[in-house]
Amino acid sequence: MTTITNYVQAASIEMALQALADNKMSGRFLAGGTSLMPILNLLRYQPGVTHTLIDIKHIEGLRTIELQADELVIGAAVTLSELTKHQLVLEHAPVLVRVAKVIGSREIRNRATLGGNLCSGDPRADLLLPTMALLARLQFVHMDDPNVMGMSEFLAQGNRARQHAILTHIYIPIAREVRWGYSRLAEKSMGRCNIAAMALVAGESGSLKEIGLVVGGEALWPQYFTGLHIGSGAKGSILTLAEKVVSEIAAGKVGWSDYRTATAVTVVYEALEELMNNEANA
Amino acid sequence: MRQMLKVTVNGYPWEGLVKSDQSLLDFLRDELGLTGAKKGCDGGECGACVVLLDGRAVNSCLIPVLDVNNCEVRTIEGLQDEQTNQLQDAFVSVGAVQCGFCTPGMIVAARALLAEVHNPGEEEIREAMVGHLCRCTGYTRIAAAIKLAASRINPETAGPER
Repeated sequence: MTTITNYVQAASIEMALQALADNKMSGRFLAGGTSLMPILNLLRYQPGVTHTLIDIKHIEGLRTIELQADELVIGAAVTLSELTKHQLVLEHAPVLVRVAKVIGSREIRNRATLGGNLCSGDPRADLLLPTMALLARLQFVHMDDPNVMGMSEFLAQGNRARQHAILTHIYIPIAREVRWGYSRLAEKSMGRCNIAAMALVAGESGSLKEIGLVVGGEALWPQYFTGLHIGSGAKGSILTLAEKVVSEIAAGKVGWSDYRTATAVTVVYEALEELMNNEANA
Repeated sequence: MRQMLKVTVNGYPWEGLVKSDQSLLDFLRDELGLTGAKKGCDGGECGACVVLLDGRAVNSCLIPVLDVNNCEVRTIEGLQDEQTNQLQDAFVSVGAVQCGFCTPGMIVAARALLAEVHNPGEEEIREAMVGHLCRCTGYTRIAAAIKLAASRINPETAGPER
């Protein structure tokens, strides 16, 4: 009648991968546990469901944040609290801090990890947007070899990317000068986003010609739109762009309601508007 | 399955076998009899189970007990310092307690906040209390109580007491 039948605290990546290989059917990696544990607590009284938790957050090297050449390298087991307070992240990837701060509560952020959020298999995971917008690359280590992939490839591969592998590090390029705007809508105060949008522009200020826009949320893996033009920058042209992007996203989606369109347009509009304000103040 | 755990709870070392499917919350309540941390949602949403783990506020229902091996846990029963006493006094004097189910988690979280920010503003307090549900008081008095406690603990940096 138990769900967690064994708990293994991995001291190294090799040990974690070996434990996963030894527990093919029941092995689950545990990082912060803020997504996994509510599910296991619910399953606790279901007979026949077993899990071996392989705790990877104590592995040395997975909780560091450092600069390497022109990249910010963040260990996958860095907690969201650590992320929001670290000077290097505040300086080089403030957009990550902005988004991490709205996730859950203080108590959740003290446990939840960057890697856990990205690998939760949930398109509503908030940190997918900024990591994609910042053109982050993810390093996975398999039994056989390490593998570095971009966010697009990671999202395209889905579960296959995470199978038999550990996300060890997130590489964020810092050379680009980025201004951004962000907005999200969640039904619950601590809930994951129903819809979120991040607009950004790279390069010197005043170069607001080509905008990048990432939109994601419930049942919507983040989509990256590049080369967008905002026209005159007046409210009307921002709204036109938001409507155009959302209609592209909604096209062919089953069950995409008018309400969803309206909320998505509002969220995208707000992100674009914040970008315009930040650009004006840059 | 049972596995060995070594942990310090409220300053006292504890060592023994625990069930591998047990949460830290269940361990504290069922094994140690420390029932100050409450079992509310069991999903990290209500904040009634908050304890300090190595000084940080965490939801004890979301932590497998074996995850706290060699760690220090402090529950509401183990918080007997000046800051906590001021918080408790302020909660009572402002009327921030009604049924009291959420109060231990709130006091622990507020204690963690005041250890980090000496005189938090209204927004910081509300942000720190996001993970705590109260179905009685409406939160306004809870925020007022934390502000009052902060002003009493650090009078030199606080505004006028209200």
